[in-house]
Amino acid sequence: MTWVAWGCLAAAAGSLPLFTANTYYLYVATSVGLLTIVTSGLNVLVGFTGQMSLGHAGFYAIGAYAAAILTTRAGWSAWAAIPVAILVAALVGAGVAGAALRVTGPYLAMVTIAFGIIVESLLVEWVSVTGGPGGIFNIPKPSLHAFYWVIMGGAAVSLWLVANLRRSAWGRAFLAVKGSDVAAESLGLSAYYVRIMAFTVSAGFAGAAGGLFTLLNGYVSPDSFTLQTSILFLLALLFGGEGRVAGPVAGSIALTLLPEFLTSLADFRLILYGSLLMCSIYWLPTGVIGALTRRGDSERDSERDRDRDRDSAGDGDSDRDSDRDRNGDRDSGGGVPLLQVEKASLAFGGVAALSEVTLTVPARGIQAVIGPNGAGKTTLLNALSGFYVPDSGGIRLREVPVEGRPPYAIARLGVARTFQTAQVFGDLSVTENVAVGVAGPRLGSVVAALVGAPWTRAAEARLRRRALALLAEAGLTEWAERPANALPAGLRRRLEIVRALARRPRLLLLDEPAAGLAPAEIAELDAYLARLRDTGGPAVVLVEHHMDLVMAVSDHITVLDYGRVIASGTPEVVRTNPAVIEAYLGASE
Amino acid sequence: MSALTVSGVTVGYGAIQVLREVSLTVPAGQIVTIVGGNGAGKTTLLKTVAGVLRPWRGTVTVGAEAIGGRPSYWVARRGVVLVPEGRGIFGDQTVRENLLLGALARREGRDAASVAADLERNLTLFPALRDRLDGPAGGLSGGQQQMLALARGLMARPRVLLLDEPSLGLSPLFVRQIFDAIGRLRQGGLTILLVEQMAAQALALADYAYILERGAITLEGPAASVREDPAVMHAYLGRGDRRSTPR
Repeated sequence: MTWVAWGCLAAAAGSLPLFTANTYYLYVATSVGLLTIVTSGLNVLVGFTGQMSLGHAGFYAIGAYAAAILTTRAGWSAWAAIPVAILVAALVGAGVAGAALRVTGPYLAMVTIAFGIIVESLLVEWVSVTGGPGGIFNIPKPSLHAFYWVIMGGAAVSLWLVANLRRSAWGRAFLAVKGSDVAAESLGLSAYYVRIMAFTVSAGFAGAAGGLFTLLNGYVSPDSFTLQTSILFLLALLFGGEGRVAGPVAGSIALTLLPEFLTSLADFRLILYGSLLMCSIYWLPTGVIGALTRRGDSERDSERDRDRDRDSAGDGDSDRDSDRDRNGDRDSGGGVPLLQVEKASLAFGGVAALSEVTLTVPARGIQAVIGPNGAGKTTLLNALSGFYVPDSGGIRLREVPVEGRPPYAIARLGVARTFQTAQVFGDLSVTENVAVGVAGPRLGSVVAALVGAPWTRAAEARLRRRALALLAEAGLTEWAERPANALPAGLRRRLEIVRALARRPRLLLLDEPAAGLAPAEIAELDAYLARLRDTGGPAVVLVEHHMDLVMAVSDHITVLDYGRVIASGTPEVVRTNPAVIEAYLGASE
Repeated sequence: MSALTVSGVTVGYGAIQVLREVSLTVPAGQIVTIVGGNGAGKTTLLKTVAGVLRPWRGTVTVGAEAIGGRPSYWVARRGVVLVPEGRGIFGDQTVRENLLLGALARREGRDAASVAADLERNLTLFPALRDRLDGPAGGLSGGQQQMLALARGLMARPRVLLLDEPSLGLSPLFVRQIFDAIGRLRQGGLTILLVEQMAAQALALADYAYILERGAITLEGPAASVREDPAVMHAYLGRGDRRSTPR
């Protein structure tokens, strides 16, 4: 179905010049192509990573002027100028992103508007380089017919590159950061760095389109690079369907052709155009492509499920190897405690959430932390995983002080965690969620991911096999190809644990893994945790309220109340401690 | 006289069907509980009754009035009030503001005196909220937030209260307090549809129970007899519920 649509599109683009010599049609078609290139790149930032830019006309301009200056003043050929245009736009993009991505969401949109305005003013004011308001003329220009093929080819390549990227570890990292940046950080990804990369890639695509734009027209002037242009880019993407590879094509076709069809309506044109856009947001919130594919997806899923089931059957070997690696690594830890918390204190607005908490976690075994709601258990986990920095006191992981390090850095030292409200990456499939964990911070080269290099594909296949094996172990195979946000709450928790274990952590922090599970499911979790411990799995810090589970699996229990440790010891000792009964279990326990 | 009737409801998300021909009734003044594993469709059922989801087929009626397919604010004004899974309190507003917002859904007794009287009654039911009345709701502990969510639901003077996992994430002491409060509401004559993973506690509290498995009702009966059913004991009351064996 999808391939037929792509085939028709390619045939239409390929046959257009055969049927008409009218340069107007060819020119409109090349406009679609250029817009497709820009929006494909913007899709990486907006659709995959969930960040808005209203300044991409700035990168488009940088590409355009770089190509113009190189081909006129430096006398370069067009073919040499385009790669440089891409590179310059990407480098500026990386620089802007490094500064601008300290903020996200609406603030980033504002910063990018400012960037666009600065570029536009520079083009006007910096006359010696840009030619000022008049721009740069007399750029050597190939024939429209020849260039038509170049731009259509460029658009096709752009779509292919972005499709490759979506399937790669980078693509998953982008969507993971969009879905939940705290969860992404807990798996060792720096959300900041991942966003910078998305921004850089999207700026590079805009630069490419800008360079081609220059060569197509034979001149450039600042008029082509206003805030309006940036808005058009974003609109085309949203109209077509952000986050989907085909979205940019649909949006570019619609937003280029629509104004052309409406020219006869003269003054009413803009009113009608605006109304259509507003209606599209109402009726097509996921864009044209989103609306077209919704039905098909779910049908295909079930087919694919069956295929995967077969795939994942004979898969034990590679896994056993890696288990051996892991055990070898862990044994070298010797007798040093894995984690030591010493007198950690943390207050929010004068209220002590943790006061002088001391805790030692050995390299193996399950350590439970219990206490009433509001006792500071989750705060403790957040401090251990780097989301909070203790006001005083120390946290040492295998003798290395880690307090104050960012979450992704602590995750890279072998700490994985789950969250009280399960943080799954909703736009990714269940398998892809686990694959984010398997890959962790090892994303490889983004260029290799874009071109779909053979070694990236091989690595992908390995990641996928391992993810499927882990899902099979956890009994989630039947959900493997569903989007993670289709999972019921209890299975999200299970997915979160599988994803965390995929990192092969030394220490696993579980925040109420049994909340919302039925008793039978809690029994399964009990067995799962026991198996994990007995097969050389990571040390576990377990925050949990289900006392049966805690008593059954824990080697050691620490009880918190009002941020203090009120008791600590084996399950038997803690169960009969009067202070614990008073504060937590209730008198009749 | 049944307060709430669900008949032949089929519903799902997008193309994925979750519930298949589910029918149940909640008699006035009783607690009916729905027991089932994760993914069985319990939350989906409550969402459908509350108007968050539109049933694909089937009807939902309250008293004599059809509410299936109506939007959730409309359903809430007919006295069917959902206390959602995960509480859904307004963290930036004070506890008092949260409670007063709950009163917006009611159709009668909207005058200040009645609202103040109900506020007072709910604070008596949940004394822990009284001390925090003018603090931000987001600063409450998990257990207090659940009490607030419940109290806010009650401020609407519901005819039927829909409770989705009121024990979720609560420590044993709070779980007991919440269940005690639900028991007192039942004595006060409130009609409750309760979804709860702590099946033993829910069955001990309820008058009638339905077992929901993979989107369909597989068993129903008075809670006392469902509790004795061998299959239910095995699947839902196995280990993990020692603390709350029938009182």
